[in-house]
Amino acid sequence: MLNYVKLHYYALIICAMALLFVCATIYRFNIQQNYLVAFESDCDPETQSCFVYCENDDCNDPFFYSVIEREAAQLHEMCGADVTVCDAAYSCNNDTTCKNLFCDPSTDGVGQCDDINN
Amino acid sequence: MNCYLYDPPQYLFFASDLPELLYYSHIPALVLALFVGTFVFLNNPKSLQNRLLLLICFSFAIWVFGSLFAWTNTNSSLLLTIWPVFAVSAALISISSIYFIYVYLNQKNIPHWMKVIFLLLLTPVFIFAHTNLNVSGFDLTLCDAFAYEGLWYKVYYTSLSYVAILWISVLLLNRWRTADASYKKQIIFMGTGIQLFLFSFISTTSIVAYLNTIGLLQDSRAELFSLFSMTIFMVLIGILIVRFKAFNVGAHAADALMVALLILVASQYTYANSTSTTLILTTVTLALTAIAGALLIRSVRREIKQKEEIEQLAKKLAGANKRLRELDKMKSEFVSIASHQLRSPLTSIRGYASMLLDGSFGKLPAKAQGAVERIADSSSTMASSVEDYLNVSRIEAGNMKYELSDFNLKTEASRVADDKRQEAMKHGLLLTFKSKLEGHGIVNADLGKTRQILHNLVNNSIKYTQKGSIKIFVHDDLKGKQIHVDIIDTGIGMEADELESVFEKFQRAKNANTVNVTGTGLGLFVAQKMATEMGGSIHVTSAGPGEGSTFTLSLPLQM
Repeated sequence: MLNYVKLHYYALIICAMALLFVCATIYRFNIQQNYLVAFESDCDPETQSCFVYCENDDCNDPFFYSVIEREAAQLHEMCGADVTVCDAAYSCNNDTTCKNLFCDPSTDGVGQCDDINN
Repeated sequence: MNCYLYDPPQYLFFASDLPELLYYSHIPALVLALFVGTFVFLNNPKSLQNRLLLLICFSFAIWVFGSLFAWTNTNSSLLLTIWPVFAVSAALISISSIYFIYVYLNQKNIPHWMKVIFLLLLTPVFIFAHTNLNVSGFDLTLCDAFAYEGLWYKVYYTSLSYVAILWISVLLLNRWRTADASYKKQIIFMGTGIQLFLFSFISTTSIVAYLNTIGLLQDSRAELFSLFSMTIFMVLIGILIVRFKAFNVGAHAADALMVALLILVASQYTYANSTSTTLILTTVTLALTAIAGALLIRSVRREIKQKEEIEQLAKKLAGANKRLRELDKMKSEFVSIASHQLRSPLTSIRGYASMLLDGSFGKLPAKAQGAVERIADSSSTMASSVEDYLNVSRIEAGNMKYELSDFNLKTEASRVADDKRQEAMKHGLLLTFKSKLEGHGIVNADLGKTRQILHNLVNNSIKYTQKGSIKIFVHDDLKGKQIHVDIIDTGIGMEADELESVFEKFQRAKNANTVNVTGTGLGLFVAQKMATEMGGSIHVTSAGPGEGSTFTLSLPLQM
């Protein structure tokens, strides 16, 4: 047995690390759901600094949005798998881990932001 | 959480709104890698290089499977479970590639210190794969995690690939220096395959991913092209298998490669538009490939079968050759023993015949005189033959002993001329001696053997010269540090194509039967072997049949 370990220690260590990695990954992302999720939320370009998305170069029908970032486990508990049918997902009231991110030309780039207010 | 802009896939992988190239780049590469890797592994599971190739192919297949899953699925938890697999499988591919190339080139396992380095390099990738250093979140809008990837973790596992490319280059160059022409070709195929694969696979993926991360590229489709490099690598592995019998894969390699080719063509069904024209064209291509493949398989199989038959015959021939050598040795031993047994009674016969002729037992009657002379002549000839057989036995057994000493070759050649002059005169021939030396004429050789060589050459000339003369001419070449003894006769001569063969055992000139000579046909063979062993040589020239011959003994001068 000891001889087998000595002979195959390289493969055994790789297998052990791979097994630990698989278990840890499944535990974190599937069981704990310990990660952030980001999704788009409505944004009013008149009052807020919104991200802007254009369908074409003319940008005659722009779509304005902000990005909500929050913990996946909490969100899943509130809304299930689909955030689009869950109003609570878009409200960060009383949730310190939830962020509603608006466009900042200095970090996101000028072209990414709605320039109506800028 | 599900991505809300994309439809979930049908049957795990099939989604309608994905680029057509996706399936064509993923499925054939995945199937081909698994197929070749498994095929090579099953052929010889105990071979380390076969196991390592399987590990590379398997790691690549996991990466491709993960990529296909990530492209088509919409559940964030599942996708994030798959996401760390990209880093781990890429790192495993890089390190295993170095390991594989080392074993392939050196046909031995890597040293202990190298294993420790590999493990140290891989450990951070495994340990931090599930942490925020690798990935911390998921974008439900874009349905990917590029924006949440950790930069330093990505830089680390990507740089492992560049380390692998450099390391492999060094290994290939080192082996190239000592490789023969055939192995150099293998190094080219293997080196090109693995370096192209690593560079294309890692660079394309990492560059596209980085451009995605910093927002310069919104479309990830460019990374799909990187997967074709695996197909090229597997094709080159296939060439190595078929042409160079690499990985000890036998005659079924051609079948396997053909199946792989058919898979590639058939995979067009997975991405081609379902118009009738495209389907017909794909079917025709598949059919033509199958026919061409069948012909190719038959041809390659025939070639491999012939090659194997030739190899078997060569083995048998080698066995037969060994047996023949044993028999030849036994024959030489037999001849040696028999000759030794013959020599003693012959000596008695010769001695008593000589004594009878000398009158030691009184005057012989006139009638008996002729008979005893015949007995003396025949026993001399027989003793000479026995001596030739014994010499051949000693030469072939490697038992001929040479006692080297310095002596004057001109003096010895002159003595031989004096010894043989009487015999030549008996045959009506004039034997003359002449020399033209610039140096002292001293050689370092076996005196007895040198005299024997000269006797053999002069005897030979006397036998094959019916009229005219025999001239012994000694001359030297101080520049070439050689001394030559020419024995020039006016005998039967020989054709140009016989000049070399006269030194073979039992060989005579074609026109030898024009003169009535006896002998074993071993004299020249023995003489040349002796001369060669003493650092000299014997050459013969002749202007043609009836034009006489010149035999030249050359020995190195003692300077």
